[in-house]
Amino acid sequence: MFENAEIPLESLPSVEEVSWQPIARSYLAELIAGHVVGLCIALLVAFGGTALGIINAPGSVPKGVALYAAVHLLVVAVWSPLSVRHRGYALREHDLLYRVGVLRRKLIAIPFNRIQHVETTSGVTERLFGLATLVVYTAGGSGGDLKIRGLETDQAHRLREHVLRRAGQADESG
Amino acid sequence: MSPAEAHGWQRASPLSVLFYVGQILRGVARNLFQAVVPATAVVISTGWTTRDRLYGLAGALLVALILVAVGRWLRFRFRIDEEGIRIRQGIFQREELDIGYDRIQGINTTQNPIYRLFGLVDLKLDTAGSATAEGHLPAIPADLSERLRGRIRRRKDDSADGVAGTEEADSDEGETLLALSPGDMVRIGLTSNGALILLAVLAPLADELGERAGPWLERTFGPVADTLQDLSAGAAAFVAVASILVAAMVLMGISVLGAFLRHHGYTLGTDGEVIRSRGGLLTTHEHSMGLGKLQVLRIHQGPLLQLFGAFRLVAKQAASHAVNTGKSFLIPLAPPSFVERAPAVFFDDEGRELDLRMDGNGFHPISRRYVRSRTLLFGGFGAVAGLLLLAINVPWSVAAVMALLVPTAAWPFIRRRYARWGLALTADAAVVRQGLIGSTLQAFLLRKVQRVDVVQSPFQRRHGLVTLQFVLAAETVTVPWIDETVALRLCDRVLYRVESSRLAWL
Repeated sequence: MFENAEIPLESLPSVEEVSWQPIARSYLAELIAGHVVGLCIALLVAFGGTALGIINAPGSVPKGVALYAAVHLLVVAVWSPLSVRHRGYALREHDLLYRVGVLRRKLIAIPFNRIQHVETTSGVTERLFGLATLVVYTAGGSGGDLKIRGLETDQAHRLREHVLRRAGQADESG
Repeated sequence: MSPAEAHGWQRASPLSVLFYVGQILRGVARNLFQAVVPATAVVISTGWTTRDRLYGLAGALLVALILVAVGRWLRFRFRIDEEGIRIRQGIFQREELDIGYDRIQGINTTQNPIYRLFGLVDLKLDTAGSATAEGHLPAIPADLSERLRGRIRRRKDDSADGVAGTEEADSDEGETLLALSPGDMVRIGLTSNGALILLAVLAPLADELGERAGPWLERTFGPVADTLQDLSAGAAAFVAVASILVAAMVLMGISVLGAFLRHHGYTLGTDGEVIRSRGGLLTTHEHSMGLGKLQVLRIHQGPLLQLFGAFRLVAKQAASHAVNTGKSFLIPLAPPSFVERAPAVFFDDEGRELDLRMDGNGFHPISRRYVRSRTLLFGGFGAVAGLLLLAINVPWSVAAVMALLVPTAAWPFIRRRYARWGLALTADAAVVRQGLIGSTLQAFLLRKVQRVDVVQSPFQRRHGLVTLQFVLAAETVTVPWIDETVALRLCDRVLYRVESSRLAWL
């Protein structure tokens, strides 16, 4: 028998009341490490190149690069912890929620019965820190609809398995 | 009979060779350089005389063209069975396509005058997976395409009732919803963007044309120009305006002609499951779409359409986001009475209480802060422009006026856009209105939403506002600047609708 009882709006589960799961602490290290590596290369080129005479630039240029690196690092050091703290995901019975953004904040909700496929990826620096990214696809977005960066590798795999299973169940019942 | 044919594999009509010739010529035109150079090299290396070379080249190309076209026809086989349509094609690189009935969103057939003579049609299938039409059956008998439509429809009935369908095609077209008159063709021509597009295409050529036509015009209209010089400035302006008007009218004329060619005798019908349009002067275009595949219904009314009291409707299907041309079902012109019926036609029961009138009173406005925020934004643009003017030594008073002029000029437009934004909801569906000069409605069923985004900028956060985005398989519907708590309730409601829905979204 098909039933379709009216559900009062107030009784609907709310996206506001979920408890957000933080992403891995080591993602902060990965984030900063990525910037540090890039800046180190820039410094190496600037100072090393000048010292070896490969680059024929005025002496102020390496100093400028160093100054920029210091400012960049300062901004990253302040911004990254904020960025990491504002990221979080929540797994509910019927959907996956993700929030991201410090100034411009975004809440993304994907119902399991709309998920097309799920994958985990991990780049070089991510692997170094034992992290992975979960990417969820629906028929709506172009490319990945949802990318959760900074998950511990086994956590990401568990999450992928769970989402896959839930998506499959949702399809069968639907 | 070959074993393949014994298993229901069929060939397209030999006339499809014509189609392949056209397809190859188009391909060659696209890669002209690559195709011509080797051929020329071959001819030259054989050491013929110049005249023979030309004839030889043309002959060789023609033979190659026909051989390839015939080859493609010979290698093209298709089969229509219980599960779907199977296509085997390709001369050197074999291609095998299996398209299940449930994946087919729409069927497009075109029938040019030659095909009509032989009772053939060119059939294209829309599927969600590809950017362009995936299955293409060139030159197949018209009754076969009719049976295919029947198959698609019947399969739906099967899954609903669990009763096996019968083999013969049902030619039942159902109810006619709309028929357009020749007068409507003129209206379509005048309101379509075709004239503008033509203008955009011709504009880059204008210089070249001017250079060539200049001397000729000089000779022909020289005396006229001399007379013009004697005329007053007012008359000269009149001539300039008149020539612009003439150019505009010519473009309009071409656009109207295009509308006649494409839509003449347009009729729209539905049997409740499939919506179907047919029209065209020389080549008949027939398009049918499973109504269950509809993702977003767009209703548009620009200023000219408003003058005519008419609307343009586009029913959008799921498409990969690259290019979704041909993936949408177009109703080029519809009267208000049709728009009133549209919810029932397109959304069936789920469309009840949905009001798709542009000035419907169910629309909730967005926050007034939208106007302030956008005006401030344009104020910022103005300030930047003013600073730039100061930098190039423009007097500060002029720069200041410019800086103030930008937001002032933008304000009425922002105000207008604010007034047009609106969201209306029913239990199953939602409709969003927006527009600047015209108005556009986007209507969709809540259960077809793929993803919900709630975005909040720092400015919005200070006032407890957010921008809500519903991502659907056809396009994204955005509702900017609405109250945060309302938006989150709405998000909950849509998620609930999606997650409790047991109906297929595609």
